Amino acid sequence: MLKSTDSAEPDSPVCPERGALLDEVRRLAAPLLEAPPFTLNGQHKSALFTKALRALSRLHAYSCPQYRRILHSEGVDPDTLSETEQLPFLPTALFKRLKLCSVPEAELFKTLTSSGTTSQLRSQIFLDKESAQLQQRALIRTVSSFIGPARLPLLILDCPSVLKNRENFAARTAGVLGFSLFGRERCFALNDDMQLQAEAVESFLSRHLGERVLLFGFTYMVWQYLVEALRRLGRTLPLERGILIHGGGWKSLRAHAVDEQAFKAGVLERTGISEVHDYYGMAEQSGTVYVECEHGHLHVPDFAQIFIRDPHDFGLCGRGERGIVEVCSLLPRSYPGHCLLTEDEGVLLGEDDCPCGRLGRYFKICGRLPQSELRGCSDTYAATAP
Amino acid sequence: MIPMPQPHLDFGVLDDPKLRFCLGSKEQVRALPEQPALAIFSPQTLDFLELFSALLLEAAKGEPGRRFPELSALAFFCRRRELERQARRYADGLIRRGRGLVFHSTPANVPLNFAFSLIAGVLCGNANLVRLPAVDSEAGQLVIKTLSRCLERMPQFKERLVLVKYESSAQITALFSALCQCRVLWGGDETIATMRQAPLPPRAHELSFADRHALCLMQATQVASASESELRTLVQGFFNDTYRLDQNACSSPKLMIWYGTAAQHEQAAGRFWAALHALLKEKNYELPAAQAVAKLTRLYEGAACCELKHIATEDNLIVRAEAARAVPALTDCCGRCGLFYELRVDDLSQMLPWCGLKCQTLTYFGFERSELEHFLSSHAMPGVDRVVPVGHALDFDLVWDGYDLICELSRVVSVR
Repeated sequence: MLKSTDSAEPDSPVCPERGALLDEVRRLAAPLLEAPPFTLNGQHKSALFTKALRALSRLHAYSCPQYRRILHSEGVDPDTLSETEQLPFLPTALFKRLKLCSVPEAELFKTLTSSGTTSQLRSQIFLDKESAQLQQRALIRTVSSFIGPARLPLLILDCPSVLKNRENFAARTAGVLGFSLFGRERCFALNDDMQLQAEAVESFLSRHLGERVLLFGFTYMVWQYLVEALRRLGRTLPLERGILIHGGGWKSLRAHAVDEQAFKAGVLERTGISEVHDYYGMAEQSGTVYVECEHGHLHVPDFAQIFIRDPHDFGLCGRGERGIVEVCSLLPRSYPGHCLLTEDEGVLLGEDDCPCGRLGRYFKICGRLPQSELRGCSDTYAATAP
Repeated sequence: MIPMPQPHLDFGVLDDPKLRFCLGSKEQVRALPEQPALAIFSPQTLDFLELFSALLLEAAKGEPGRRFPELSALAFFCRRRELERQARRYADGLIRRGRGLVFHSTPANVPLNFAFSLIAGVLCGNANLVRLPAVDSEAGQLVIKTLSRCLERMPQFKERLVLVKYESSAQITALFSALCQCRVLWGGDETIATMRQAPLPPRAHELSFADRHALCLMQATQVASASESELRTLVQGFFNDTYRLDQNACSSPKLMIWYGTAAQHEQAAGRFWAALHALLKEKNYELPAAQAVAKLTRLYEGAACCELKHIATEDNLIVRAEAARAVPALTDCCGRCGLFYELRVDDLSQMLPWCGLKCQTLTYFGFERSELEHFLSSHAMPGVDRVVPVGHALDFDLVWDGYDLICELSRVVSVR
């Protein structure tokens, strides 16, 4: 079913073998993946990125017949691609409906699924060893820019059972595992009934008194199971030196009228944490995360790019204009997820000129497209909770 | 033989707070199966529907700017003369009367579908229990209000009609299924599969309306040579068939077939889509951003499975793709809110792969009825139950989806 090549097809391009194509991708993507993150300016990056993305598109067109036919339907030949924004973007929902894979089945390492309630279809993302490793390395490089290079004691705002079902790797699991890379010693803050284990947390923190501690969790879970739980218990946690990284979307919190300010204020009040970073990312492009800087802007790493598209004609929106978020990343090698149209609304805020000093584009997310199917990472639990 | 399990009647579920009565009461539900079946098109039924038609027309006219043309269509359908005309088709000397209680589970995609299903049940002389769609529509609310007014004036029909609403509940469905003599399931494959888990009494009959799709067949030269006003009428009709309900109905065409040479097709398609686009602008058709993305998703799903060419259009209102061949798999990749797959044919038989079991309606422009009759009768295709001119895709008829509803919802008494 999942074939790596299909040379019998009449529209099969004349192409060297996959290995050579992959080498070309590795060579062209290296400068963007291996430079210190957020150090390439727009002009410098653009040419490098387009070249690498072109090679990546060629690889996927060669390896994935469905992707090849999609490009064909748009009359796009990766070889003649001159601008990144000319590449067709696959809507993320396509990964729920089709099995899109660019490696032979034997080379599959794990399959990642997006979150979704049981009645919904889930995205299936096929990873080989190389893509999985790339994701990890890229995540470390990106996040280190915000929390520093040292591994820190890690408090996970989730339950231990999130790691149990690794066969059918869900987005929440992937998030927790991914961020575990940054942890020196790890402690789960919740039990499997989603109850805050205040004693265990306090004893963990007492072992790391005065140290910087990293906290990771999904946005609504941080709110519901940490901030609100502490409020109910009338307790606080001594985390003045903590750094909180959270993501997964605001949908369920907005429904409870909790915005970014209220969230940060609540976290500060109950834990003393003032260093809070939201991040944006999705299962269909895991490893590529857009982390919020101290000025509240989400930053695009060197190996990725974003565009904002006008829903009327999918043309590009200008800076400051609200539109549909398109994300490109050089990480996906085993599935054609390198250029995606999300179901999120966002605004491009600027490029190379954020006061935090990081180069590249920065943006904000406004939420899901209205009428869009519930698809956010951490909203899974919210949707199925009684 | 193993005896069929007898459905168990649990009237306790009538107290379930999930069950809401929009017309009638829970006491009436118990009495519904005892209502005597009337003859089809009986005079008292025609009186009732005549009143309904008049009151509905009044209600429709009361709405500013003819907001709900579908209400007028429904009122027209129920006019006495129209129904008498329909009745003549069954005047074959046989005794036909209702089967008893009909349980209708009706869909949300076409707001007034429940009314047509109900009216077919009423015309056949049945008592009717209707499960309304979960989503309210304004037009639907007006119909319910009008029905209620009719029942005040003709209370003898009160005991024969109950309208309810409930979110999925296997227990409620089980009771209603156990009470009825005929179950009518709308809403597509998934709903049918779920509802069918509830057993029916041994003598009961079921009518199910599965997921279907529709085609539109255009004679390219006729479109190319149409006068401006003919073209306007054509796109107006096409709009009503498709965009007016966001292509949500099974009978809304999603696959287009252009009959003609490549040059004729290019000329005709260019003219047609430009005129349709102008109409969409004029009508301020709004495409939600999520639907624009959904259309692209479906398009790429189609492109991944068969050879397609995405035709560039001015914006996302109309999304078109040309198929190289009538690949059947493409019929499963249809979208909503203005996504069209097109095929050019030199010979009508080239469209046959799209006329499979799932094909319900074929709309046409620029053909003689006799040409199409000849084509349909000379090919043994599993689908195509209904052929109507462009503009009539959503017109309800007592013959629907390949079923004669009057025959299906009534029984015949043979006397020799």
